[in-house]
Amino acid sequence: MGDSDRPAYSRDSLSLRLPGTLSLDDLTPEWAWGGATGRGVRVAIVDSGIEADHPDLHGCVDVDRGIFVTIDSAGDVVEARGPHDDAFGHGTACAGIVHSLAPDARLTSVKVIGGGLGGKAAAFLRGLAWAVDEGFDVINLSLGTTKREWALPFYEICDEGYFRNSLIVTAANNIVRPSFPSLFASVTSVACNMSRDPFRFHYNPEPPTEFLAPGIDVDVAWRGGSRMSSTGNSFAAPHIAGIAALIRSKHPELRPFQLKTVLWATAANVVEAPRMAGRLSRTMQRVASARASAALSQLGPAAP
Amino acid sequence: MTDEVAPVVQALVEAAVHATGGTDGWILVRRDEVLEVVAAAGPAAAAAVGARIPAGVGTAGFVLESDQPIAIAPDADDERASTGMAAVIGRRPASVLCIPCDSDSGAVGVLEIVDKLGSEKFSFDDVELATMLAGIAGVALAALPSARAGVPLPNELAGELRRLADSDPGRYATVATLLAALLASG
Repeated sequence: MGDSDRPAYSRDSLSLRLPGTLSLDDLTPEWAWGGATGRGVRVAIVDSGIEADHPDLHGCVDVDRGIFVTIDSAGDVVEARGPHDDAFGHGTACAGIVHSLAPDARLTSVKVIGGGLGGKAAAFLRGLAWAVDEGFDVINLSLGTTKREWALPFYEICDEGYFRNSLIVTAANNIVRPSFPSLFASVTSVACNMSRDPFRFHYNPEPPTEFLAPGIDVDVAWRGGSRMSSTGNSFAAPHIAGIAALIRSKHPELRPFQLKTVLWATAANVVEAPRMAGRLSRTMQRVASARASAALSQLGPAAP
Repeated sequence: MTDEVAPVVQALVEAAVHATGGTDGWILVRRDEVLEVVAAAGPAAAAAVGARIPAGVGTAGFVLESDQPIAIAPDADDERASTGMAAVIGRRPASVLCIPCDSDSGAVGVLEIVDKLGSEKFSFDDVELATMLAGIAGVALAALPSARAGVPLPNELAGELRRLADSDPGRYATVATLLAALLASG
């Protein structure tokens, strides 16, 4: 059998070596995002909307390209294109974090919260699917659902995004219960670390949470042109989304698995990463259980 | 609420308020398009049981929709983060900790604690502790036969199945069609 008849995987690796291939030692923060601003990168914020004229966003939102997904009384998905507000402030907070890290990235609001509680998982899914269809470079999803029946549709959309070259960044859920889509390998799941430095993130060796980023007492932009101190994995995810936007702007050729590899290689502290990010560690479980038991014992029996 | 569940969620909210150092706290359960207080603790909240606020607004509404825990410290004059419950307890909280009470069928309610004593805001330890207690509350609330949380109306169920059928026809299309036919037949 001649060399040209062989399947690609069986040919000599030297003949397949890509030009400019790097070794892991080359993957430093300076190589990854040094001098990058996010220019040329489009980031979708799937959330409660974005207050586009917030003074701390400096006009980085493509207002006319946004979409508001709701479920009508008949149970059908309704998509409204164009400007919309932020129903709560959370989407503006996520947008502000991404913008603070990647100031030249263009942001688009995919509003899926604020249209009522009915069919919210369907609105999440449709909003995410729209962002994947639109080919956003980075998609931030600081929300999720614990409804198991939605796992497969989310799985398929996230896989589609992965193969279409969208990096989907999700907030891990603190609860010890499956939450989707943060559990899937095709997304990048993020929980909080203790850092105040927005560029200081950690790799977590115990998936499904893969990275830890600042999410405690974060000063974030909020609805009404204000700012607020906020804590939650919701605010850790956009830190990774922002850094990913920087990497993407400098290295647009990278695919999602390569982006994850660059993030891993540039994580501040791989060796000392917490054992169970986004969940209570065994020590914390013991401490929390003791505190809860003590609190309950002091209360005595509850009134019926 | 049933006699079996009421003491459990009441004990959980009292423990959550006590252990996190909050002033007041409550557990809200979704009933159609409103959230109802089913347990409460603290001087201002204790009488709030039975109060109803619109769903989908304020911190509780956001957490119920997003299924993400959150701790915020809004400005004293910021009424948005406390929309709904502020009127019930008679003040705007300076710090809010809100956690979804999850079950296998999604978030059935939220545990909300306000105004941490001696501090401007709740800590991440408070978030994790409250998350554990809210998880237990979620299991208890999901067992409520009277709670409609997580149990959609027939037309909501039909809509949900129709959307699932669009996403995954092979798995859901048949049951969606059957349910639609049942609804159509009255």
